[in-house]
Amino acid sequence: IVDVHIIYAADVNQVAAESGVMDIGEPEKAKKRKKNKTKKVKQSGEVNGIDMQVSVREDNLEVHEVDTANVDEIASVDEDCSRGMKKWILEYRQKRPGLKVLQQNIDVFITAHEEQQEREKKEREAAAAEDGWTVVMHHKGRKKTTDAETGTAVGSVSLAAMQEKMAQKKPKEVGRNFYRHQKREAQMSELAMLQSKFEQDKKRIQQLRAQRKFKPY
Amino acid sequence: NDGEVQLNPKPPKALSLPSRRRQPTTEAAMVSAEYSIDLKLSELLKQARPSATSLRAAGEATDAVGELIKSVPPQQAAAEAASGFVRDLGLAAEKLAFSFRPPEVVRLAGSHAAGAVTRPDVAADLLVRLPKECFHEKDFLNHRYHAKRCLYLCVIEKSLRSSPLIRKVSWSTFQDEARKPVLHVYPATEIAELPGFYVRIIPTASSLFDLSKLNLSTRNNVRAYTKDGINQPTPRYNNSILEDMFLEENAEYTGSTFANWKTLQEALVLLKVWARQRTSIYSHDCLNGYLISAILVFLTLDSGGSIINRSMTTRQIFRVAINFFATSKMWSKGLVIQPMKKRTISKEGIAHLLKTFDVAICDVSGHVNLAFRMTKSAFSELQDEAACTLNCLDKCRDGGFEELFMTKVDFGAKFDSCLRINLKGNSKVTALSFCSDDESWRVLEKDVQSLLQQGLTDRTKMIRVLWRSTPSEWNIMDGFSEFGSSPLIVGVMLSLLEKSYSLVDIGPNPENRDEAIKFRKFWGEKAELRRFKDGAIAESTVWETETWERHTIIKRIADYVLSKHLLLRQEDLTHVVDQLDFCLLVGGQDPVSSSGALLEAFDTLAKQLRLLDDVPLKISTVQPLDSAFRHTSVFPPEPHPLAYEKSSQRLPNFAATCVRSLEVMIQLEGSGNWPLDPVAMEKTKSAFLLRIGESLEDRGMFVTASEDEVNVLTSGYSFLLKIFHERGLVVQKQAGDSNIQSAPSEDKELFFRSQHSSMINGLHGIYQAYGPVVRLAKRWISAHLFSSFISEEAVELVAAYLFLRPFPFHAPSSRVTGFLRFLRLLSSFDWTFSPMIVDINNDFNLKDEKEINENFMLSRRSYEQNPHDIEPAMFLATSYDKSSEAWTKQSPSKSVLKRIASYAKSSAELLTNLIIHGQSGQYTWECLYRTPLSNYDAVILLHKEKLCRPHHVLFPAEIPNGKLVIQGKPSNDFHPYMPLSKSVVRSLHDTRDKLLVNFDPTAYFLRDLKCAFPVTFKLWHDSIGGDAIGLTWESSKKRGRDEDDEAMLDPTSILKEVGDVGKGLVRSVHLLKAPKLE
Repeated sequence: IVDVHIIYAADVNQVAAESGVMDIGEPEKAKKRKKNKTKKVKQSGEVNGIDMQVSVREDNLEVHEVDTANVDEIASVDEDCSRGMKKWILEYRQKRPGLKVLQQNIDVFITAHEEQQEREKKEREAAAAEDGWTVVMHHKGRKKTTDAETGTAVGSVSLAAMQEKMAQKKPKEVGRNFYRHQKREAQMSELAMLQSKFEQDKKRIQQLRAQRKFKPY
Repeated sequence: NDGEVQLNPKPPKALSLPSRRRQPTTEAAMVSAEYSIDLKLSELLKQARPSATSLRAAGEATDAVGELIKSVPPQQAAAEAASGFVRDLGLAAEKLAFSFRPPEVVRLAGSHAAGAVTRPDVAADLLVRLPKECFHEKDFLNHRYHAKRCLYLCVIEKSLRSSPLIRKVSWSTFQDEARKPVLHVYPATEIAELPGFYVRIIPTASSLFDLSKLNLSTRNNVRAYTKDGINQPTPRYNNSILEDMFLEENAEYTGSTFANWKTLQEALVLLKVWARQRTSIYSHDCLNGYLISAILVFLTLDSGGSIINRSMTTRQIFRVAINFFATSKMWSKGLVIQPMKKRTISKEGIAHLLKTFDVAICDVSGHVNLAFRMTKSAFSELQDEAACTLNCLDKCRDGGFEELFMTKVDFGAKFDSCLRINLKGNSKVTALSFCSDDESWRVLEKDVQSLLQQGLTDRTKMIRVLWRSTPSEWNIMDGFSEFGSSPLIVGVMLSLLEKSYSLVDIGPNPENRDEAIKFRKFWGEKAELRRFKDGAIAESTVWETETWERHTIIKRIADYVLSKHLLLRQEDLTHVVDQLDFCLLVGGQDPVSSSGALLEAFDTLAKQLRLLDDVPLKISTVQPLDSAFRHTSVFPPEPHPLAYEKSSQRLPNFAATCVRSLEVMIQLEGSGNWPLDPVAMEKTKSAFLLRIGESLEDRGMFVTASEDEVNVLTSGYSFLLKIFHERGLVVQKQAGDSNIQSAPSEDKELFFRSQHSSMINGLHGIYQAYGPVVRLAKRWISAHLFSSFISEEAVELVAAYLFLRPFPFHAPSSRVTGFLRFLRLLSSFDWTFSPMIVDINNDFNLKDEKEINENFMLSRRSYEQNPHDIEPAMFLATSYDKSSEAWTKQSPSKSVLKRIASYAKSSAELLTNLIIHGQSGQYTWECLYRTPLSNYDAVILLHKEKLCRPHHVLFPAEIPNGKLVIQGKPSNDFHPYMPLSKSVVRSLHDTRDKLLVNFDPTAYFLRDLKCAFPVTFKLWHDSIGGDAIGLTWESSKKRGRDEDDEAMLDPTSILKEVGDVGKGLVRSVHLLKAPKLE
């Protein structure tokens, strides 16, 4: 039982030593609370939980003790830059070269990307021209405010406004219940769905029955 | 005939295809729904009612016991047979001796006679008529009747004990009334289907005494019951005797009504199941099966308006009865179970009953109040429950089947806080005699009720006090010494939290002397005279508390009042309010207390961002995304000393190295110049963010950025900026459906998160308990290493569901109750067959719900083929995400969800136990947050002092069983805390450079592990603060053929490799179970 406590205490000391200061800065009260907590844990020892609530088992510690003697160590913790903590910190630092550098990188990327796209476009046009088509393009004039592909306005029009507009437009189409056959089909499909839901319900009830889900207590 | 049920025996015709012309689909839908409810109800009835054969066997066994009783030979009965009982009634032994005669009439009554036996209470009631010769004319005085009634039973007991047909005889009480013992007789031959079946022997006193002597409102029959030397009427005592005198008549009347009325019997069974699930209304001071049947009988009479008749279905009767409980005005007039024409009780008689008792249900004879044990608070609880049930009937799926009959509405889950008072040996109790007009336990119940009512005033909506005083094993010779050993339980339901958490109670003005003296007497030293802002002076009590501790005010008041007036010791009082707070504290304080500073910092930043003029596009909106902004973060970050513009404040000796950055979403004003290509769009966003970062840096903030994230440190916090570009949503839609579906675009994700964030923020504004409940829930999820499988947002939505659809409860107002319900919901929700619809602003109309249901059905289509793999396993629909794509699309899988559910179940059971019975042995409150490492195939322990926030670790992991594979030393390159010397002030910028923003070694480790072993195992971890990672092998089938190389390795070498990937962080790796070979 005592072991648990010692391990915990050791833990705290280690943290303090590592960080180069003696106090973690918790108020005295808090420390006491923590200690109390460990004590409670001690009481709760003994049991290797029935169901999932488990507490400490003392013999574990002994097992551990015995094992440690001839167990492999992870090698070169503070030298190896290719794995583990050292790598992560290096990676973190490398990814943050400063705003200026990052900005430059992006500029370079975007220029390259644009060039490539331009090139691809040209190639496409060239290919189209080879097929005997002439690509007519309108380049001058005011800035584009419409999407080249869909012809919808972009930029200042917000998506929400667009959707709202679209939603308002909809009712103009022929109503879904306009033709008799539409009505009938809709009804049939709805019934089919209901029936499938009904079948599903039945299956579910069977399954629940199997799980004794109808037993109230 | 147990199989057939008078519900809807055949599938409805409306569903047969092809549809008949005139059948509108809505009607078909309704018929289908009704049918589904009826199916379930009939299943329930089958489960709840024992089969006809077993009931016949029970009937035979009961008859046999009856015959045995009838053949008990005449003999002398003496008080010595129950000396303790006689003593505790305050009687001398001499006058009680009588010569025993066997009963002439023994009859079956109760549920067996009414055909409404409901599990688990399958006992048969056997009424035994006490012979008149055994009693004197004046035995109704001073408990002599009660004593002799008991002695009569003693003779029967002795005789039955010696019979080989009887296995066991034990003592209990009639409706928890100690002075009215009953015998439980267990026949020797067990009935296979009814384990634990017994016969309850209930003596009756038909025409034993002169009725005029027992008049309820005028007669005193317990001479010791006086006030100022004058005998007071003893209505409860009188009614206790009258009840016995008319038991038979009432039983016969009820029995004849129920006979051959199948739907009424079924409705009674349903009502019993309903009531029993609500533990606090199925009790001595509220409902019991007998009372429910009496009320049903009343409703069939013309005096009850004949609102139940033979043409009604079971469900209709059930509904009518519930509706009667909830809304009927008749309660205030008193119910009389006599047909109008045969009415014998006068109007004055009823008026007297109503004056004497809280609730009046006059019986068939017109002499007894059947509801004489019912208290006002119990009755109002009953009404509240019934009203809530009506609500469920209309609003819930399947007519509220789950909510009504399958959900336990027990003390722990129902009330906002529970109080346990141990009154055994308390001087207040011992000062009372056990039985007077009422019994001491009932008197104490009332005292506690009124004390709390007075102390908590309008802070509560409901206070319910219940003391089940009968011991489970009662030796009649001991009298009442063991009664009241189990604690008294109080359930408290809070009113509006502004009221419940108020710091001051204002009492009377001191000039109002009488009131002021009363106030002082009640509050004692806590009362003080105060002057208020409006100039008023009043007696008052003040409960000063830190903001984050305000939920404990109720506890402080209740504890103070009860210990003062009941002279309780501290250990006799347990109030469940703050027992789980330990897992939300850092250094003894709840970090939520700094939320105000965080929101202020955010506002400052938002303002500055909107004012930036050196960025090509203006920033139009700034929106918070992180859970810390909506009060649902387990540990909202606290201000960091190095994250201020200037270090004017005094620096502590050390600071955390890692800073958690909080995501903030910004939107730019519209522009036509955005690239359309998704890659270019993301890059342009980054460029914008860097530009914004630069100009913030010019304004004195500290900015640290990588290509993926730009962090701004200001006012003590770090913010991570993201740009939301609406066109991003459209572009994705165009770019094709197939491959995009699996990975939502950045903008889509931002859209979901911003919508979610503002919705949850709104919810937090309405329900103050929501934040703490979510925090407890999240901590629980992570403490059991589920962090990587269920997103924060999903947890928030499940918790939101508790508040928005609380049925059959009211929305929780306390963290413990909310958390318990969260666990129960998680464990019992029928995820496979039901979508969870979280409708925060009441946005959904029928069309939306239909759409959601269709989406859900679509997602469950694959269930037919493969029931083990459905996606998403958790279907969470919200107004911004009707097809559950946002949070649970990838994870949890069905198997993980099952695991979560079983953990939740176990935790819920433990928590229920802790609330009602308290800590016992090793099962402490901490256990809820302690996870067993033995449930994993391997465990990786980390160096706690190398985690990014070691102070958030709840319990350092214990060393698991199993083989230690490898161990490692902690890295020297990383320390979670850094010392701050005086020189820091001068070189602030350099010191800041040492900060690691959003750096989490565990996250890097997990990432590298998944990269190195993509399919070998599943990783279970705690993202909030855990130093253990669980690992379970994936079955080799899943891994597929390509991974054979990886699978060839033996587990030990895999685990050694695992340790190596995390060098510097990993303390040790333990192998518990090797993977199964195929």
